[in-house]
Amino acid sequence: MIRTDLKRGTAELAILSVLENEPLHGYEIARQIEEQSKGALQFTLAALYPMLYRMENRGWLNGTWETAANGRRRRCYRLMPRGRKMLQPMREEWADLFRAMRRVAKVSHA
Amino acid sequence: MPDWSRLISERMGVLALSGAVRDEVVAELATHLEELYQACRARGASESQAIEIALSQATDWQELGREISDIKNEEARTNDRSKQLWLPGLMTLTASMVWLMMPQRVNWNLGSSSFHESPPLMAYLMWLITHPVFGAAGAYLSRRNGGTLIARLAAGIFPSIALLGLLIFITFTGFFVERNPSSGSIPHSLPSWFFPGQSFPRSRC
Repeated sequence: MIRTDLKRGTAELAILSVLENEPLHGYEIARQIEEQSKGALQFTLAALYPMLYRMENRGWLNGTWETAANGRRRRCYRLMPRGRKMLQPMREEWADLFRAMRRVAKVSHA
Repeated sequence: MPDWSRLISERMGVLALSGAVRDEVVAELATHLEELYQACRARGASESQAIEIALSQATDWQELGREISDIKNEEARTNDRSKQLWLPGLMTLTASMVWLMMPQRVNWNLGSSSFHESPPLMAYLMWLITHPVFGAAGAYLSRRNGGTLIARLAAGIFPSIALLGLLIFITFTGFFVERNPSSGSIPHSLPSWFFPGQSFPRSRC
């Protein structure tokens, strides 16, 4: 069964995926999602931070202030075990969605 | 370089957040805008263009401020509940259980000779008499963490509620699952749920 809240689901999966390998701060999360999706997915500040704070409340992420080499302080987000556990089911759900859409809309892979 | 913190604060207006949380949120958003501004400048945008691009990250800053406040306050409410109710309650329940176990562990010899044998009346009595102390400690811890009257009251009676729940669970499990007549005599055991001391005169000592 595919959930109806697709838009939020896309954003959550994108954020969890970019944080899978390393902790990142907000701007870098948005930049990497844009870069990896070749510009198809773009997060504005107004869309990104409420989502990060919600995911932090759920215990999927943990944000901590860190000081970079240039002395600039940034809040870095780490993927927590609960968030990591969400990744695989979300990926499978999206794979199901794409398979279903390919069958219905006769869309082929790029 | 614009003062991003000031620009964000002006646009968001008054946020329903505590001072420290508010400052943290503004600082984090300011860092984001600063990085975006610098990236735009590096790509050749003029200063005014870069500022405009950065500030267009939110169409309604006040709405964004309200949304963030709601999320952060929900987080604060969860943290408060943990500090004001669950933590004091669980601490006093644990302390109460340890206090009950102590006479058994040290084999406080008042008629009982083995750990598995029922502890003597005095041990239970002493435990019951001192129970209000644990309740008071729970209420004090809750108050110290800013608990409301209801939270303090709930933290104070938490060990009693937890033990009552356990007793009900064991009794009903015995009655409905195991069909154990000794634990299933609910009408017989009901008074002891509310007045635990009433069964002492009938106990073996």
